Amino acid sequence: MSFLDLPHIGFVIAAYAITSIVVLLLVAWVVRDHQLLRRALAAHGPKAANLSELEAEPR
Amino acid sequence: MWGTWWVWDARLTSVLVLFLIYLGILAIWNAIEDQGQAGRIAAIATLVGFVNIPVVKFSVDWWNTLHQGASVFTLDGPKIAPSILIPLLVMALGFTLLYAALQLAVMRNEILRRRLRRLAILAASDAPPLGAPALERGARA
Repeated sequence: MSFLDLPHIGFVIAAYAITSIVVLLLVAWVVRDHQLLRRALAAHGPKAANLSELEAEPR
Repeated sequence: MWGTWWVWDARLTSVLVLFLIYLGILAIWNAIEDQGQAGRIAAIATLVGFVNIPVVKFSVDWWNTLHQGASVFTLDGPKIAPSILIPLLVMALGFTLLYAALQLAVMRNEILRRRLRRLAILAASDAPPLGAPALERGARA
């Protein structure tokens, strides 16, 4: 008897699959957001990495 | 096994109410443009919604439900078999750590987002006002 013959195996596999997809999408969303923010900050130049230094600069 | 996908059981229904409260908080947070006001109202809604947490916990004791009674945290110790209890605790620990990691990552992103917004404001304040003539260095006004 393989594990595929276990009762409710379809429900068990579906539950693990849906959970895995949701968790992976969540992690990918956060990582992608971080990459886009880093890229946008880099467009402001190297000073963008340190805002306190930027604010201390005389205007 | 309960033999059904859904039933108006006390535990299921109270968790459904909790889910609806959660959606409401997300809706409040996204609907109000002023972040300070959105944060205050969402915080109040969170405190009000938290009242539902003990209802979820004790729903199986207060009402006669299809869901089993407390079986993990009891005075006599866990009532469920180790073959189920151990994976349950491992998964609970795993998802708690995942939550903490994602929370930290989202907080880091929020710091970067605010830094970006600040830079945009600084850049806008340095720019000449709209409609003002662009003057060359040394040119007469």
